[in-house]
Amino acid sequence: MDGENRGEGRLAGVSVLAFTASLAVIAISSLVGDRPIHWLPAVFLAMALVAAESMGEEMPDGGRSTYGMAVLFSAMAALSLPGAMAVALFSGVRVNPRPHRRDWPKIIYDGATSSLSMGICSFAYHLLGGTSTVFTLGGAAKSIGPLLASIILYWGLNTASVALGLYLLKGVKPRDFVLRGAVPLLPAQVVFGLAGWGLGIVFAQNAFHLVGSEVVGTVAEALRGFFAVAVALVLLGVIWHFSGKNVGLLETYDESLRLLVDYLEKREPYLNDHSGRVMNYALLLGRKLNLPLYELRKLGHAALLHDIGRAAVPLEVLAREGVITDDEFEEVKRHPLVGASWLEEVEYLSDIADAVRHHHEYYDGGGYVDHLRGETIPLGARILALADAYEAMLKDRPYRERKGREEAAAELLQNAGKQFDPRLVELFLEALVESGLLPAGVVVEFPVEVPREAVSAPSTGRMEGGEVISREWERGRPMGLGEASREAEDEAEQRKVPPREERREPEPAYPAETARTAESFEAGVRSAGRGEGARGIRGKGEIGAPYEEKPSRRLFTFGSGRRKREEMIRQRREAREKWKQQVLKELSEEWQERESPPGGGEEDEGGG
Amino acid sequence: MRAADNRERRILLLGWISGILCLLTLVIAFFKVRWSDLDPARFMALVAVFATLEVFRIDFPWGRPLRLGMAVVLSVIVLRPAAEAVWIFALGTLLSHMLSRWRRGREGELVHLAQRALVVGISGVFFSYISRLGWDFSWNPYPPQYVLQPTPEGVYYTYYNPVVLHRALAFPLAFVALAILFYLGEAVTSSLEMAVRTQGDWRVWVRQQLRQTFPAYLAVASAAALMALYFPRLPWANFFVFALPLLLVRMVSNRYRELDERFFQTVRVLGEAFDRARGLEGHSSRVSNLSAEVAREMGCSPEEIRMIRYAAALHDIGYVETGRDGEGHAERAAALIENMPGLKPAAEVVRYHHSSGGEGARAPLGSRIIRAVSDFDLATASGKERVSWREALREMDLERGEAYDSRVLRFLRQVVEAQSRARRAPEREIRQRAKVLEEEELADSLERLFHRDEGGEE
Repeated sequence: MDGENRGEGRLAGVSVLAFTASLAVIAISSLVGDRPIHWLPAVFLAMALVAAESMGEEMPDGGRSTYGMAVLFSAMAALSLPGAMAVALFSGVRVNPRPHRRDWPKIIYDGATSSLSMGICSFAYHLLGGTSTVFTLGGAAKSIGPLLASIILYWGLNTASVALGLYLLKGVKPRDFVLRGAVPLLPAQVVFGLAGWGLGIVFAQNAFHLVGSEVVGTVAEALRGFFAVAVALVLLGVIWHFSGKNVGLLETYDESLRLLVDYLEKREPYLNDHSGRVMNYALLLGRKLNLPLYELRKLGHAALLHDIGRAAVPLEVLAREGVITDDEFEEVKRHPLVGASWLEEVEYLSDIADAVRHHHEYYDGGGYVDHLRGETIPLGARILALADAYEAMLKDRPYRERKGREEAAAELLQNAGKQFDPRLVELFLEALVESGLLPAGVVVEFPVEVPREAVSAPSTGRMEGGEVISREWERGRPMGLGEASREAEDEAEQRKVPPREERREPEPAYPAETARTAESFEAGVRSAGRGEGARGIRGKGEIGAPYEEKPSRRLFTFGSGRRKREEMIRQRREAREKWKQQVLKELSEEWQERESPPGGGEEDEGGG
Repeated sequence: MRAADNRERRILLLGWISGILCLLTLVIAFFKVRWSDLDPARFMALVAVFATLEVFRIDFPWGRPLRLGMAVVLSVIVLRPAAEAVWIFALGTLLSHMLSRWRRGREGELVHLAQRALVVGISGVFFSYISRLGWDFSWNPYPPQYVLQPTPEGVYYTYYNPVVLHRALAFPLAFVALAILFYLGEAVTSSLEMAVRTQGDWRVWVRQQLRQTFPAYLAVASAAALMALYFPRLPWANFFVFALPLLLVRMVSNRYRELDERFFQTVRVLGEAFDRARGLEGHSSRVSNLSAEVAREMGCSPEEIRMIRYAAALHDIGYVETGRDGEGHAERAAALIENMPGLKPAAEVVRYHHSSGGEGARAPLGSRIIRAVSDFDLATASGKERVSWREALREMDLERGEAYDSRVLRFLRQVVEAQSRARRAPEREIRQRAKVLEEEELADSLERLFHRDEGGEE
């Protein structure tokens, strides 16, 4: 209480000083200068300033974010230096139904400091060659540089003064205020300052007929100028209002979501903010991949919601120590499916449903829900799988002990290509080392063993993330974990992908678009009957890989993605069935060939 | 049964009345336009500008979207005679719908357009009168002693000439009056439609509509004023210069709505995840929808409704911590929600959603609504001993004033009745259509069979 009183006393002292100073400057410059204060426009702008300041919102560290900047810069453009300073004196005043005696120092402090900074800015603007009287394109272009300079100068002075005031009054650290409060506002301030300046120029053209010694033009036109400026300020105010709401909502969204997910995880106490940590790791990797900002946001949300389907699994199963039965394990394995189906029901969240659905797929196809493999798994899901596994390994579970960071990293490396995308593992470990979460050079002790046959054809995706990956891959970088050993480098050398010309899109044994129309369906059946498909498979010599898939070019699917994916899965199932039949048929033919005398086979060919 | 018929009949009636009035407006306007004096290039240019901006729309949680073409219409009313404005509106609307592809299921928009044509006509006539209103509030010409003749150097006026002052103030005042009339007309017509569709009270809808569209409408009207004011200085360019801030408004406003909806749906999915574990699938989302309806019908502000929706989606989340007995789950949920920035009012609503008696009377309105709606939903939609909504309401009426707020109960009954009526009507329609479809399908398959036989012969 005492400290606050002292703070208020100091603030009052400073504000009285500044107020006197700015009054003195206004008086001297209006007496000395050749341009008098035009009172009518000044009063009008002061009213507009009060209205704009009243609409502002409180910022977390104190201070208010308003669009008073627009009004101040139209005053700078339309009025002389003392006029603009006089208008700025009102920037602390706002329409307040319940004024308080203790608000006065703040009001005076705000007004005086912003008036002084306005004076400095206006002086700088005119010194640098800015103009406010000529409404021509050339004049406007000449003024843009000085204008930008003065806007940034004003922002700096205002930030400094508010930071000082908050420090005096509440002891808020200036650094906190500047970084969290003032810097994010700079772009908006610049835009609104520019718009306000333009308004001021128009205003000067229109409304100045009313003032001065000689009245030229019509009063009607002058008043219309006032009306136009008022209306334009309203328009700016609406934009400010909505964008402020948006920013607030974005902050609320992220923070609330994390709190909520953390709360829901109390059901399984050992999880302990698992999803939040997974989000951190996923974002780490996402940033490493240079994903655009909106994709990062989606990735974060997907990471937070990836285990939402666990809510459908009974607690007895989840928290049991020791062995669980197959049936129960099946139930656990359904959780990505359940979570994704919940998310898919909602139009606004269906874009992250895919990542949630596939976050337990393995890179070699051994995972669960749809048994996708390689690049067909959406990138978001591959990222989530990695982050999820890494986070889980660092924590205790009822059925196992936790691992150390190095051990977990080694585990990731061992499973690269089996469970995880090897390129992502590489980048992830790099990112961990860069952010100091993993000591550099640790991984040298655990040589990388990427089973080469498990890695399918390199991505030729044009998508940003994919391209980044393939570029990283092409360069054949070593692990990048600080002191990478020579062996690792050699290995990276070996793993280098052949240059672009040699790389070809693998021809799918079963084209994705089969059975679209009746003709193609019949053609497909005929070709299958002739055994072309079988030769294709034989030619590749990959019985273990029944079909080649197109690499996925998407992070998350948008809009109609669900239907596409269902279609894809259906086709794949059909292809698998066909392949089985084919193999069975071939086997039986071989068997028959072996059993029957050679003449039978010739007969058979002749028949075909 | 009869009520449902009534509803359909009302919708049809509204459509027909609007259509006929719209036609009437168009015909009268057609004869009022001086087609011989018309500058066709200017006319078509205004139509094109209007049609272009009409494609962009600002959406709201309920009711009609606000189309940016409205700014052009307002400024056209100022710049051109009313009859011409009506025809510019009509042709521009046609053009814009051709631009944005007419889809099925948008027949309802026809009614909307008809009503808007009417509003345009009325406000046009209103503006032409009010802008001619003299300085002494009569339509008399200015007294001759005040009218100054222009000199060769231009027009020199003094300050204290009432004619001059009137001329200066007439435009802003008339424009503000026009904007208010247009706003009211839009709100009333759209609320009438919403009221007929949901069987609600149209006056409540008007209030909601006015509140929810206010900022966006303010921006549109301001841009319209600027467009009209700067027509002499920046002919034609003015429409595009002032459309830019409008597009910005559209962007930020629609983004807010989308973000809010995404946030709400995320919260709802999370809140609902554990409803299923308790065997109450979909409880939270049903409660949040119904509570929002009740709150809207009770005349809460959009922000209050928003908070009630969030609170309803999270009202049972405390069960995660307490387990099945649910002792103190409201307090725990409130403690969680309190930490979420921007949802603090929802925390209070959740905290008191199980209070009854004297404490219940002092609880926030949102809590009282959620208490009633939640119990109603538990009774009607889940478990083995589910009852019909009539019975549930009757049971709850016994505890009126004790457990439940009687005013809330009254509005709950109103909303539920309207919903059940509205639900029944399309069901019957679907059944009838299905019957027709079945017959058509049968005919179709017969025909196909027939053709295949023919093909087989070939």
